[in-house]
Amino acid sequence: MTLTKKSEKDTIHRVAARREMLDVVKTCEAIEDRRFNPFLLDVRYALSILGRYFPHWKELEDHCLDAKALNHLSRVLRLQGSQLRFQSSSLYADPSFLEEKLPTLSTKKLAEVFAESWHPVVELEQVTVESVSEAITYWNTLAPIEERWKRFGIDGYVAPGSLEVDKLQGMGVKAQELFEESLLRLWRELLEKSRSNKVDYQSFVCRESFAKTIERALLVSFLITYGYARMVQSKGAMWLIPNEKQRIERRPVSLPISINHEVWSKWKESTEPSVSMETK
Amino acid sequence: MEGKHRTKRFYGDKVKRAAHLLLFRRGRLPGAKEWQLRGALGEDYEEIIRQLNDRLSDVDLEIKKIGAKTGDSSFGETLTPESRYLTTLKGTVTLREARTCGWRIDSLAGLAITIAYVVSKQGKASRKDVEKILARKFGKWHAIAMSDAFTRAGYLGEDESGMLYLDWRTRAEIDLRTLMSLLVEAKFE
Repeated sequence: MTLTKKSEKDTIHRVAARREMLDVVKTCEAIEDRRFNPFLLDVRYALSILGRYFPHWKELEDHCLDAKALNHLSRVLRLQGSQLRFQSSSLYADPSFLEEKLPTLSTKKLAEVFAESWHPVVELEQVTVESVSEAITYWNTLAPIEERWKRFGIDGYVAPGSLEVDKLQGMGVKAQELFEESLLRLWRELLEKSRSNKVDYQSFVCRESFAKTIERALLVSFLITYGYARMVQSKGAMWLIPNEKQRIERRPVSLPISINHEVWSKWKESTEPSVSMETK
Repeated sequence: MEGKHRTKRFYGDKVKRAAHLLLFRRGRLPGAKEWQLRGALGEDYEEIIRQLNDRLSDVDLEIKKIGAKTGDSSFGETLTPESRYLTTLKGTVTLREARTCGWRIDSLAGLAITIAYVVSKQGKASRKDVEKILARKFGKWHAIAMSDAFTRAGYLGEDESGMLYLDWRTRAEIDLRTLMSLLVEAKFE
């Protein structure tokens, strides 16, 4: 009976000790990731924790944890050393001070400061006999500019003219909204449509016109790249899941998705009956 | 006696060969590695580089040696046979010149903020923090695009845990002491 109680007490003690050891490891990891100042951790105290529990470790797992904690503590010590060297160097600037100051400086001022400390690398592109010969052949076989213009239905010289902003927007030369705004709008739309569920990629991307569909597909690809949405494959279809906050994949995977006129036409045909039913 | 004679020697053809190796890009990165120079120029490659450097300084260029990899603190470079010799501008460029070289003022300002912030964090900062500080000045999407572009250009590197560090191009091109002191001295606007 006494033995059982003692064993239970030992187990509880070991669980608490492991928790304390894990706390030391996690604090060290946070310091290594530059989330905390290295001097936040009292290394002497952390070592006393390791020393206190070391004689009680019996299992291999616990010894591994002890070794891991010791390894992390040595890295923190090294960071403390480099912090001291860094603070005594002329490179030292308080990060929080810089965080406040840098965004207040004008773009031009920042660029000027950068240019004063910038010594760009000098290099030359190589020209070889082969590349020169290729260039000469290209130039000799190139049709005169009047000939090339004919392909575009332009006869000779066209004098410069002027266009209204509306026309430029219609031609797609001038954007109606900034790219950033478009992304934000689409992200909100996706969040609204999903309501903690997944959204079918095709039905989200495809729209009445083919050009609009391509535009939305492009924007969705940026949303995924920037970590504002994820894409999953299930039941033979692609699904979009929006992220509430940005979450960038550390090991990104490229996923080519072909959206051609045929795909878009099929989608349009499949949606048309429902549209006509609704009209009825 | 022999050593004294060697220091006075002038390597005409080898200096030209060194200039070709350093100025023409052949691989992914510009310049040449130490072992490549040793192989092409011989054991006296350092003296040849010094002579080339003297000539280049007349036209405001200089040869720099950068370590292959940064240490854990990102400031302590380890110089090995993999160290790279590069040619950089000795002086600096004006904003107008930078613009004609294809740089946008926004990008230069963003790079200044990014590098200064990473330096203030002792050479390593999380991508998230860097993008946050850039976003305060340029907006969220632009900040993400900028950090990607700086990484692709070789100014920043990223490790497996998403921490950004100063990569080869920053070490070759930026005078960190000047940058930091100018930024600290700049008046609040």
